[in-house]
Amino acid sequence: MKRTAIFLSFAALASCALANLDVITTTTDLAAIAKSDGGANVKVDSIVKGVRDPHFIDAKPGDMSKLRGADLFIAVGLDLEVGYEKSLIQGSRNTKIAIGRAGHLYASTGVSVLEKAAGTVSRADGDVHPNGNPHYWLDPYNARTIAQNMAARMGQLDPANKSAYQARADAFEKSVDVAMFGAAAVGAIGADKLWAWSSAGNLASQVRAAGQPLGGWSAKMEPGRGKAIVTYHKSWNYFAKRFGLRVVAQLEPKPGIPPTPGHIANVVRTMGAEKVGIVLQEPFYSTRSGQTVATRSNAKLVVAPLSVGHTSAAKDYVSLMDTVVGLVSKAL
Amino acid sequence: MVFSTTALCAVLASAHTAPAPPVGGLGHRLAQTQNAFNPDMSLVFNFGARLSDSMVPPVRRAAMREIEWGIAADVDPYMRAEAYIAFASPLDEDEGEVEVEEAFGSYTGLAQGTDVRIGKLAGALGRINRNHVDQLDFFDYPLLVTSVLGEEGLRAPGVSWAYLFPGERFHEVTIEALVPEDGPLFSGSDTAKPLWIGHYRTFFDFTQDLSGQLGFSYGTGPMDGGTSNVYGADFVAKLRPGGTGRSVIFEAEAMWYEAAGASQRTGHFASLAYEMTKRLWAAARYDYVQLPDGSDTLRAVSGGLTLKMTEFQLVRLEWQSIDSNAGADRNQLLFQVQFLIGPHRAHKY
Repeated sequence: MKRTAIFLSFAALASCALANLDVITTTTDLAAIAKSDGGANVKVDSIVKGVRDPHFIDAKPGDMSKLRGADLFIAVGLDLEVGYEKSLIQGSRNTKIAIGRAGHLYASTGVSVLEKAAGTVSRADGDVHPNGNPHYWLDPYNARTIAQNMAARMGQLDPANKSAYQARADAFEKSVDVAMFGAAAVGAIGADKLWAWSSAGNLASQVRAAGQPLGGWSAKMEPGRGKAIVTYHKSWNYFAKRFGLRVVAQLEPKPGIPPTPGHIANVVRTMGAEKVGIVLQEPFYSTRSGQTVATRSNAKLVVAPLSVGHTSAAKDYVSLMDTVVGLVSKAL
Repeated sequence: MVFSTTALCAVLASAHTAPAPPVGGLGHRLAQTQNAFNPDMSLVFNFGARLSDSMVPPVRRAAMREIEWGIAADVDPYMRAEAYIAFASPLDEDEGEVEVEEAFGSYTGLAQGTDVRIGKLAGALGRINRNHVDQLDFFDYPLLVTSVLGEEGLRAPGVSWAYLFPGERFHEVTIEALVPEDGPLFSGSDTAKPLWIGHYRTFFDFTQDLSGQLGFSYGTGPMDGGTSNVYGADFVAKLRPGGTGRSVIFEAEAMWYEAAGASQRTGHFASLAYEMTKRLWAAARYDYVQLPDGSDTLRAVSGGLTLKMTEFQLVRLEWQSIDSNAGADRNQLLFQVQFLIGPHRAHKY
């Protein structure tokens, strides 16, 4: 037992020493995908840890030390980290990871962004993100894009292992495809066609027409397609769009503004009119308002992990989505 | 320097009435490209009012205490420039003034781990002195800052060199050479001698929820033909249990100082701020300071509630009682409204 522990310690030290790239991400979701892409070639850590609202993170000096020697800094982007990203980069004194340099990556590159502001943006609309809703990682399709973005950048910074990064990103993609549609459908129809049908909203009928069984998250969520939900913040819009749920209201009257009694009353009315069955919220907000509207509307309050590490079951990206899909599909 | 509010209004009005760029086409793209090089600009409005049992003229009951104009942008790949200009109307003065609080160029790419700043800087004596008034958990700075370092803290032109050591743990050393303005402890108006400041700080992530920062500082500089010295220790700890929406911030600083020709004196403060709900904070502070010239010893107790409607505005009600050995006691009720327009400001630790 003792020998095994010593061996594992040496193995861990050796893997750190052999890592070609020191990668720091802002969120645990990005860290999980970076670990998947990088394998033993990278050392990965995240700025945000534990159950925290990723909008409200302090630029801690300890995180500047983490970034001082980093080869690659990966952020969600779309202003999610606007309160601390620049301070951390400046505080690290590491010019390699400055915005625009090869050592800095916005994982949102290439993602089809929702709610991009058109025209004038005002804080009268709350804490809006002018470049779009930043919670895109909750659409599994976007997780594939993130993985490919990371692999490309890791390969650029560490050309000797470019093919290994690409192979791992492809394997991650495949694991998401299988978790999303089931192995049988992916094998018989192909992932690209399935994602296209999913985006068009006719996945189940097309798979049925192809004579294949639909599995995975899609199968679990299919009975809830078209149903209305209420969320606390706009964190779940990408998830809802992917699985055909209609978000009819948020508990926040405007982004970043806590619920008010008047708004809660409006939400309850909307829930009655739309026959909303669940209130979906993040684990870092108070459940008081969510519980109130759920009770008054005879709905269920579902507190689901928004990120890897928010629950013990959400250990990596696929298990995060497993957990969210499990909780939501059961409640719908 | 007396400023004209009409001039400020004219600047703001001209910005407000500037014609909007056409949507779409070359004009729009050109405007977007041009905007990309514009600096980030923000205005922090700080309104204050006071009810006191010692209203000695020229004190005022209410004033727009400060409008801080913050401007920041990258100069080129090697330097970043920042300026914070205050249009101030302090409650204790009958005239407004324009003051450059900080304005510096910062070289971050000279060598790994270094940060060199040139310009007017907030001296690295302790932690709270480097914060601007809008970043405080209270109506005003602790007495340690206002009575020892200067009314708005120690701000002076000069050079600062900071080095962040490699490794997992945060260790940073800062060395500064400044030309101090006349203040209670240092005076640079009649000498070529600089004020030298050294500061060391380290950071602890005790757990995911609890972190702290410990710093030590030393300063030596000119004062009326002699030399003043100051030694300081600063500590801040933050407890933010994930998922609770609550947090606690404890902060304390102490300084020991010898003004030229005077014996050693001391001052300190300790404060506690508690986030009761997502919007509401309660805070309390104890201040003790011996004035550097030995003319008085002040003790103060402050307590207040702050309602942070959003990250961009707050309303604060604070009670403060100051006890003075020289008889200048004061009890006051302070009211503050603060709001910000412009880009999102950094969440500083």
